[in-house]
Amino acid sequence: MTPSEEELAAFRLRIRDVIATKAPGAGEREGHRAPTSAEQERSLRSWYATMYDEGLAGAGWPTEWGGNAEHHPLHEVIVNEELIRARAPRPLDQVNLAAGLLLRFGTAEQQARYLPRIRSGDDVWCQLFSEPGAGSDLAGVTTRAEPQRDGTFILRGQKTWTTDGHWAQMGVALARTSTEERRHAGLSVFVVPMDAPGIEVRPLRTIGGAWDFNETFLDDVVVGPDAVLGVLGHGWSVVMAGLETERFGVAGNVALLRLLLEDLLEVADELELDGHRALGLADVQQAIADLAARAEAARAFTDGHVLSAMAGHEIEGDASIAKILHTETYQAISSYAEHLIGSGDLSATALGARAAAGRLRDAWLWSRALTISGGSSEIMRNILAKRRLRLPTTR
Amino acid sequence: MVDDDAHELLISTARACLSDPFDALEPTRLGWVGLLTPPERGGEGWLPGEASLLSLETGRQNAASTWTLAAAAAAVASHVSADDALTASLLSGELLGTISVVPDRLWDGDRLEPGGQLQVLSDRSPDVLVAFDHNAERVRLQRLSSDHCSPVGDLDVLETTRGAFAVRVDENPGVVVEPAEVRPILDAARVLLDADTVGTVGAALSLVIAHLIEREAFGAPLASFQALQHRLVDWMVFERSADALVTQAAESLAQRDDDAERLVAALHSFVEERSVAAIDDLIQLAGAIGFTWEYPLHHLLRRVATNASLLGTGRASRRRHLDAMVRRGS
Repeated sequence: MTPSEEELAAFRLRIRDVIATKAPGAGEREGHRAPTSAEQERSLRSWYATMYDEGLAGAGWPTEWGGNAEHHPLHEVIVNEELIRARAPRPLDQVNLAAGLLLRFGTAEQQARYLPRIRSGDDVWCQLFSEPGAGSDLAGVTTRAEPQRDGTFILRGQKTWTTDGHWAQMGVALARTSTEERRHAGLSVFVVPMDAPGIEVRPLRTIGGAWDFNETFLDDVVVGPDAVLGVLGHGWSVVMAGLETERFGVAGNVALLRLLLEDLLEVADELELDGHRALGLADVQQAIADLAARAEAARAFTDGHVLSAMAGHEIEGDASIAKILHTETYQAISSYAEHLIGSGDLSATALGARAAAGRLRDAWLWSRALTISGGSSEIMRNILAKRRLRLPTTR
Repeated sequence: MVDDDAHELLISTARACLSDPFDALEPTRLGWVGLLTPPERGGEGWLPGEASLLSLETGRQNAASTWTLAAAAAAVASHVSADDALTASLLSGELLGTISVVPDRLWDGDRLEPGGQLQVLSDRSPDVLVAFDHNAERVRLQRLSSDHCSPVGDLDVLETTRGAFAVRVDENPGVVVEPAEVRPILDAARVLLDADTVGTVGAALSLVIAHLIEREAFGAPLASFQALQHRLVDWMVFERSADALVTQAAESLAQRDDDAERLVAALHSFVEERSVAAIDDLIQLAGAIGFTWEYPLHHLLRRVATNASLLGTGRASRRRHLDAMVRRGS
């Protein structure tokens, strides 16, 4: 049943209070998600546990695993909005994905072994899907998992873009378990402990200087038969189901656009451009208002999409439209901000505006991660051409 | 909020009413002109949500109707005129009203300069004009004489899909309208016009997609080329998001929400230039046929370009949007 407006308002206040009193103090930087010190890591893991305890994460899980029977997707939207608004660390996408797969495809034993450790913050999970030769074209993975007579599998191959791989305890790996003509067949998904012998994780620094990504080498890594997630040979459907999880959270993401616009206004109000306050110049006003209109359109579409999806009337392709709108508007706002800041002079005394300028630069450098990862903008357009507009097969 | 069943009913009614052969009086007979006028003055109530759905469909059908402008004019009349007969005549279609921005040069204080000329959209020679200036700081309800209004031919005006009239302001009576009192009506008129624009873009997109699927070149349907597909997708994404913003702006007005004015300005900022760019690009994608008078795309281009500034410029909307953002803190 849809919660009443009063209930949602009270929920929002409670979430705000939890974030204000328990979230790690330092502001979240866009594109800098992984901890950079042992102390920061302890604090983050503790915050993850708090989020599960307080219903900011995992509330939609079955009650036997700690979920809340009263949970509604609108709660998820509010949590995401409030975390973004407070610039507090958000639950890790990779952990959400792993939990979603364990809940949907995991055996009772796998669920009992792994889910409580996610809730306690003891286990961070990473995703071992992409490879140097298989990014957007994920069905091209070549990592192999050779079945052995004793029921174990030996994994060999190289993975890349392993977000959080350097501090994760567990990984979900996609590998080829048989040779089939069809590229999407013969794939399987495995649960892999990241400290297993044969795993090597090497850092890949991102464009903004952060160490969030890694390359992961799987060199004769042995996993047991109980590491298979879902049905052997049906890994493609497992992976696809995983990518569809957390679809309601996207509604909160548009709150990020509002934060960017707030920062942009603050900077433009302090920035000196051509001898004037930038926000007083007509071209700057027009450009900012146009970006804000784009953000408003993205929000309007996403709100409608999420409400339809919650009501079970999701239209095919709407999620791809929402992704394009959010990520490309984010890119446009942050890119304009960087250009504007580079064209003017920020007053030395304007500490708030300089902090805002720093956040906008982080966002600008991070923005390409949004339009490339999780299905690039180009893949989204291919999907929409085929499934929404029903255009003939691409040439 | 318009629920799903009511939504379906409205759309199917609109399609039946707007399809060929279209009778320009039909929207009046169905009560659409009364959708912004309170029931106690003879209207259907304050229903910008329902009106915007019907206006979207009016654009989708490229219907030769200016009922949205007539609806706004009737609502203004009902608000400011003590003369119930005027409102009743506007709602019944006996008199026809329209609404338009009037350039500063045609104003003399809060009056319109006699002899001043402007072009307006109207199904037939208009009897009443609601005029306002670019910043909606001056609003006037002006009676017009039919002998001072003349139709404008296709080649003299951008608009070709709806009636366009050259109007000469005369000494007929008019009343000054307090802008603050009718601002929600002017905003509703803007949303309806933007809804018409979004519907028109949807029609243009459907037309070109069907053409590109049908037409073959280099041994394949043109619509199978990825370079063209991505552009079609981009305009579909624009049209879908603009449609969503129309719904939100209209609902916000319906609920008399404090944020409504900002959303209306955001909507117009978002659609006015992009909708023209969308159909312009669709003409390019259609190839040479899109460049001919016979092919309907240019009429759709003209329609959205006319809508873009009929009730105020995009620049003014962006200024209003930014002012509202600064006032609320973002």
